[in-house]
Amino acid sequence: MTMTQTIQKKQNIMHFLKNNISFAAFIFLFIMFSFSSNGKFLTVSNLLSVSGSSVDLLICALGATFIIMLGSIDLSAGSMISLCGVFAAKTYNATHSTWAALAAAIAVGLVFYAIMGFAHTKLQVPTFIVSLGFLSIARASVTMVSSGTITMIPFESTFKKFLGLKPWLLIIGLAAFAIAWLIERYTLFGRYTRLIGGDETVARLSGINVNKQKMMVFLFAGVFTALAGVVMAARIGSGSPSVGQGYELNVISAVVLGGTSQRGGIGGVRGTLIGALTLGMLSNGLVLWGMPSEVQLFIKGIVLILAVYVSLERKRNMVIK
Amino acid sequence: MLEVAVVFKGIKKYFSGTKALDWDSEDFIEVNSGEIHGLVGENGAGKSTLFQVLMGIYERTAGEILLFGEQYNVENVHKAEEAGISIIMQQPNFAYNMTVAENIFMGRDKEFTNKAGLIDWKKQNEATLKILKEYNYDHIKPTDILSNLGFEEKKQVEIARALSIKPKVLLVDETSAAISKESVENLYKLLREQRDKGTAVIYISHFIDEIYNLCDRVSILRDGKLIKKLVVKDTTPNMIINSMVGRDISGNNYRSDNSTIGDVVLEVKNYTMEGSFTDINLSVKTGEIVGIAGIGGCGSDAFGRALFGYEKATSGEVIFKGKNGHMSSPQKAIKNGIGYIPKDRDQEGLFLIYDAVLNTSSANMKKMSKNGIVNHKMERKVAQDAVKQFRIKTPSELTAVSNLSGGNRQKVAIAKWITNDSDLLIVNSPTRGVDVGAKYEIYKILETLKNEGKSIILISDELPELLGMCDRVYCFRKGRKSGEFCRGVNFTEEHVVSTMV
Repeated sequence: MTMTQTIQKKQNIMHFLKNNISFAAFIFLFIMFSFSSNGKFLTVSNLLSVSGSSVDLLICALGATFIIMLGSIDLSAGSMISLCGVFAAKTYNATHSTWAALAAAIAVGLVFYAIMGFAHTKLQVPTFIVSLGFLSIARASVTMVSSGTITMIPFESTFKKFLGLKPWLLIIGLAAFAIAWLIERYTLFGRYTRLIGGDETVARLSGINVNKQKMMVFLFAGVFTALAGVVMAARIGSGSPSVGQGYELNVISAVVLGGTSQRGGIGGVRGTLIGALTLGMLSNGLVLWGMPSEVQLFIKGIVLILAVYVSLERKRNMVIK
Repeated sequence: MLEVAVVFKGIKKYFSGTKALDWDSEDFIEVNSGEIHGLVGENGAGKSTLFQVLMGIYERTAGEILLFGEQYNVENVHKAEEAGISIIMQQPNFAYNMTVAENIFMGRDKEFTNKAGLIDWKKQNEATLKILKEYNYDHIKPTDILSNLGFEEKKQVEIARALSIKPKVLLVDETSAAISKESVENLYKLLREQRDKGTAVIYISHFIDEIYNLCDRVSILRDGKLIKKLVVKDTTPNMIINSMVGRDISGNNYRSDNSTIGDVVLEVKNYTMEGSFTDINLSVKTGEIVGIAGIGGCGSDAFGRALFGYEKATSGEVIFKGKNGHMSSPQKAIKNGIGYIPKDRDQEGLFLIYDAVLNTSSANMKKMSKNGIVNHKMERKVAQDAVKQFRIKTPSELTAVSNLSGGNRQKVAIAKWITNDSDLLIVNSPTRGVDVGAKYEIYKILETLKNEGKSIILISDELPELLGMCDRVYCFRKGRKSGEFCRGVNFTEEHVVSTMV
C-alpha cells in the first residue's frame, strides 16, 4: 500500500528533524559561518579559540542541565561564578596553590547551593524565586568580599596555565562533559533526576526520595558552577565581582538549545554540549562578521526564544490522550 | 426516524509508531438518528481514537466522514460542537478553579456578553441552573467551584455540559466506569431520552451487559480494524466477546479455590484519617486477597494511600509483619515490601512521557542497579518480559506510554508493581477501563501472586470483580467499615451491595 508507505516516510522525516534540531542547527550555522567570513572562521586556531572560550559556559551549563531536567531553574549562575571566581583568585594569591583555590571555590559553591536547595525543598519556595533571590545575594556577597575590586591572577601561575589556557582548558571541558554524561546515563542519580522531572508526583509514588534527590542535584550544580567560575577567572586573568551579569541567560539558552525541556524530564548533557558550542560559535561568527555587541545580544535573545519553541515542539510531539 | 446521522468510511489514523485506526477503504459504520449505537473492542482497538477524530481533536490520516449526508471536516472541538456533536469523555476535562457555570458555558459565553465585552454572570448562572435542573443535577450549584465537587458530581457536570449543547450526535466514552449504580441508571435514562428525542448516540463501553441494556446495534473494532457490525437483539454476548478478542474466552471463573492462606501479616486497629475514614479495624493474611468494596466517598481510596504512606493517617495502630506498620513515605513502604497501584494511572502511576522500560523499573531501581550504576540490560529485559507476559499492545518497549491506549497503559502500571515483588500489594480499581481479555489476564496475575503467598488488598467498586477474586470483602460506607463477608457465606452481590449503600 503506497499511501501507507508515503505517510510513514513523511512522519519519519519530521520525527528525525524534530528530535535532532539542535544538531541540525549547529551544522547549519557551522556551514553558514564557514562560507561567509572570508575563511576566518574555518581555521584551526579560530575553532580552538571558540571551543576554549565556550568551556566555562559548558561546565556551568552541565550543572544547570540537571537542575532543568528536574523541572527547576537556576537564575543565580552569573552571580555565583563571579563569587566563586573571586574566592578562587584570593585563595590562590594567599596560598599559591591552585588546588586550594579550587577547593575554596567549590566550598563556596556548595554552601550557597545547599542553602538554595534547602529553601526549595524544606521551605517549598519555587526555584525561580530562590535563585532569583540568590542572584542578588551572591552578587552582593562578592562585592562585599572583594570590596568591589578585581583580584589579579598572575599570568605565569599554574592557575592560569591549567585552568585558563589550552590545552588543559579543553581537557577540563571534555572531562567535565564526560563525567556529567556518565552520571546522567549510567547512575541512579541521573535516573532519579530524570524521573522527578518527568513527573514529580509519580516519582514520589514510586518510592523516590524527591527532596533528597533535589538537594543532591543542587549540590552537584554547585560544584560545576564553582568550577565554571574558576575557569572563567583563569580565562580573564582575574577574580572579578562584576563578571557574569546576564550569564545565567546564556547558560539556560545553552541547555534549552540543546534540547533539554525547561518543563523537565526531556533532554540531557549531550544536547548541552551542542548548545554551548552553538552559542560560542554564534558569538564568534557574529564577531567575524563585524557585528557590534548590541546586535549579538539581540540575536542571542531571538535564538533563546526559538530554542524554547523548538523544545516545546519536541514535548508536544508526544501524544497525550 | 431512521435518518442516517453519521457515516465513517475507510478511516485511517496513524501516529508515529502506531496505526490506531487502519480500516479498509470499503469499511464503513453508519449511525442513525434515534439510535444508541455501541462501539466495543479491546484496548487499543481504536474506539476512543474514532471519537477523537470525529470531535476534531485529531485529524484523520485518511477516510471519509459524512454528517447528515454532507462531507465533514473540522479542525477543533469548538467547530465539532457547532456542527452539533458533543462528547462525554472518559476523563473529564475542566478548569478546576472555575465555577460550574463557567465550565458549562466555556467558549459559549457570547450569548451572555454585551456590546462592551462584559459578561452578565447572573444570567449565565440562571441559565446554568436551568440546565442542571433539567437533568436532576440541581444538588450542584452553578457557583460551585469544580475542584470542590466529588467525583460523581464532576461527572454530572460533564454530562450536563455535553447535553446543554443540544447535540444531534452524542458520543459517550466509557462513562459508566467508576460511578455509582444510581448515577449509572440516571445516565441510562438520559441516554434513552436522547435517543427518543432523535439524537444519534454512540456509546463506548467495556461492559457487555450494558451493550445489551442500551444499544440497538453494535460495531466491533479490533487492533484498529473494523471487524463486525451486529444488531444487538440478534446476537449473544459470546459472539461479541469472541469478535472483540479474536479468541474464545468463555468460562467466567476468575480463580480456582485452593488454600494458600497463612498467618496475619497486616493488622489495622482504630485507623482514622480525619475527613476520610474513621476507626477502621481489619486484617490481612498471607496468600489472601482481601477486597474493600465501596462507592465514591467511602474512604477506601484514602485508606489505601494511608497504608502506603502517601497520605498521613490521624490516629490508630498498624502492625505489618509483626512490627509497627505506619509508613511515613512511599519510600519507606516500598522498602518494607508494600506496593501500591493507584486508581488514577495517568496522574499517579505512570510517567507518560517515558517508555515502558523506565516505567516498569521506576519503583524498583534499587534492584535494577548495583552500587548506584543502572543496569540497562536488566531493566530492558524486564520490560520486554512484561510486554510479552501481559500482552501489552505497543510497537516496542521503547515507545512512550502516552502513545498507548488506556487499557495498555494500565497494564504497564500494573507491570511496574508486579516486578517489585511486594509482600503486600494494595491495588485500587485495577481493571477500570480495561477490556474483557486484559481483565482476565490481570486477574490471573493477581491469583498467581496470591498463590505465591503474597497478600493483596483489592479496592474496587466492581462487585463481580470483588466477588470473583477475593477471599474476604470488607465494605466501607461513608468512612466506616459497614460489613465483612467471607467467601462461601452470604457472598453475593445483593448482600454486599446492601452494606455498600
